[in-house]
Amino acid sequence: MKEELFGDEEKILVLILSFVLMISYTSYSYSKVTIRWWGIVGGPQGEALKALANKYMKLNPEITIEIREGTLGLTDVAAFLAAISAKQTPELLYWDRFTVAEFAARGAFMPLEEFITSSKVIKTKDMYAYALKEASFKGHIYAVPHDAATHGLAINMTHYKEAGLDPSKPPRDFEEFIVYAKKFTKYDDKGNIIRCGIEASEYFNDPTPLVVLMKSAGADWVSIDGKKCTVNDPRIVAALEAIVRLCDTLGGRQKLQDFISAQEVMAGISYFAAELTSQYYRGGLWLLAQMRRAKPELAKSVKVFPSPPMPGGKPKAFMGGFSFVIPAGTPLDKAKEAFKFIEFCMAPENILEYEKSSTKIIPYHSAINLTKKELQAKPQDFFAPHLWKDFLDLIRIGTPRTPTPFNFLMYTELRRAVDNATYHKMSPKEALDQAAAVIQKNLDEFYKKER
Amino acid sequence: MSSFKKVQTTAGIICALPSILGFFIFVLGPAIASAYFSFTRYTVIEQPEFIGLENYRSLIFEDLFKVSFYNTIYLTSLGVLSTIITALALAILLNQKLKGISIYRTVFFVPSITPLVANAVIWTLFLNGKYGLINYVLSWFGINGPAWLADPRWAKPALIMMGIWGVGQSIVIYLAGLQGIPLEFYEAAEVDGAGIIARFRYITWPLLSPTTFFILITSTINHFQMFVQPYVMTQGGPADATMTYVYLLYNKAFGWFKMGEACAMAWMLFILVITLTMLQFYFSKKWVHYELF
Repeated sequence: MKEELFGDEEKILVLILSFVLMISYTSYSYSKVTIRWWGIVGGPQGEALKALANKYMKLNPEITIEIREGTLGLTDVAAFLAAISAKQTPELLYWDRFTVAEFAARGAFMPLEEFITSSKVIKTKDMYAYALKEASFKGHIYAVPHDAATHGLAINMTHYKEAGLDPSKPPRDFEEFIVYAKKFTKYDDKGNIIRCGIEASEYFNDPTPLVVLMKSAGADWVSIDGKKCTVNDPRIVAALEAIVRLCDTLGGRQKLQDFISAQEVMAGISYFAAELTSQYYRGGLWLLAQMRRAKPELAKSVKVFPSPPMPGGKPKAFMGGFSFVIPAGTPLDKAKEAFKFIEFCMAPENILEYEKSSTKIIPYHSAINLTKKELQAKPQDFFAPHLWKDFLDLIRIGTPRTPTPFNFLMYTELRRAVDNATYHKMSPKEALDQAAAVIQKNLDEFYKKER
Repeated sequence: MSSFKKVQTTAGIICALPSILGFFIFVLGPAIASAYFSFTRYTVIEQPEFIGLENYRSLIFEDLFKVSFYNTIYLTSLGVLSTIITALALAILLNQKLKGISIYRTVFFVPSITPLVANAVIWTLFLNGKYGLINYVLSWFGINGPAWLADPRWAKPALIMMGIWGVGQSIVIYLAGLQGIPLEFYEAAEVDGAGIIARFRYITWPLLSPTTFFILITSTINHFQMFVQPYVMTQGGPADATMTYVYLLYNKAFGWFKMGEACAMAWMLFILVITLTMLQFYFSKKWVHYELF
């Protein structure tokens, strides 16, 4: 008779073990809720976001937050577009508010009014108007603003004193800013710039200084109804002419570009934080993180003012930032779980922790009041508290970049216009006319389709 | 068919199946889909809307498309020429019987296997107008080098120069070609009194023509697809000087919600490359000599 390999008891034991394993796995997979969260940025901000996710998972062991790094909104959107085509979008996104409208306009994001209306933590009344405007499109709210970085003119007071200027009297307008910039710029015997009066990269890598000047002159890149591109408005042309003058005064675009390209060796630290430039036209709160990393002692000789406006204009502070977004098509139960996490991030006890480590602010009235109180009570908890105060003061003049269905394209075209004008390939008017034509064509197509 | 043959055929099909399926799912399928999308207005987020030839028509009249096309033709024509000349010259040098020649060959080959992104980062530093190695070397000869990537006039030549750094593959192919030329030909030519130039012109060049033809075709296709350099080094600037065709295609697809136009661009490039390749094959009859091999 053939002897069996396993006895009856062993077989029963294996069956019981398999059953227990199956049950425990099934109950585990039922109890665990996974929220896939994409768009975690790098640096101190990213670390602060990861800390929030870890804290939430500790408090809610049944939730798993899977993080995918990479900046969403301006770059790295290819992964998100691929996920849309594969119908595999994550449950939560961390998105640059600047491009919320263009994805929302095409139905990529879920409107969040219902969640916000029933929330005890997040209130639209509490949001700063500029943040709410960037998070909305055509009457719907598609994003919960999370953070912001106020931007203003950061100056190196030591360089001011060296040049015989009073650091308490920054340039009153952009024309004076150009004069100051020339005074601070130093050249070697071959005419190369060795210290620059401006953070040159900010003028060319993106066109934000042009946008700040545009806003200070009371102009905008689209008409009120959003259907007409107005980037060739005479006030914006004048702003670009001023940037061209700035470039030429300091030695021309190529010399400035050469100065910029040396930044590659400095691992993400701006020239301002390395004391190689004297003024940062739209220095943001993130400068604090850079100084904390590169030159903590520099913070003592830095002061922040509103960025100088176009002559006759009013100063405006550029306010960028990120938001929480839930992709369209997310199942309601998952969306609810994702929104609970958003509420957790916006809870007062988590706000200060996030602000201090990321050096960003939370653009809600209650949060800013909380920050101001903390700053007064425990200034030692903040890096460079005097600069925190300066940056917080800028919120009153904060301005959004007007949402359109083509903000990314708008920036691309404005950057090309700045390039063409500063390299003298075209006059500022011609360069902006060209940009306006491209954007208008896209706007026409978009609204024609909408009709 | 015998049963053994049947088993062999079935095994062959099963072994090849992953590759065949992969080709259908990941190559042919997307290619057919992109052909369809090229006739639509498609943002990826929304459903595609059929618009006929509109994408092709609007591209032809678009300024930036023309700029990118010009840049790509410039980079391809000069880039291919410089690749062939440099690779051939270096291969002839590396074909000499010298002590330690294998070390020299390795040195020239290594850059071609370095990731292109790493190469791009290194070359951004080399080409820096102020601190870069290139201008430092030029300064030994009293030349004040240009701003390279910062200067619209010099940005394209800078990318071509960078391309020469990666000719290692072509050198290896040329070396193989050179070593396949029988030495008797050179000996006979020497007996007839042929000098270096005559030997190169009447022996090396014609007998290397199939190799040159292969490098011409592959290098042309590679240059038409230039993407990493503008993406990493210049973002298409300064002043659109390095806006290549494929970099514009990428921007349209993933930045400006114009996947339909991007697909149309991809098909236009495919047609252009295949036409050029066919033309190269046609004209090759006049200058490529296979019969001696």
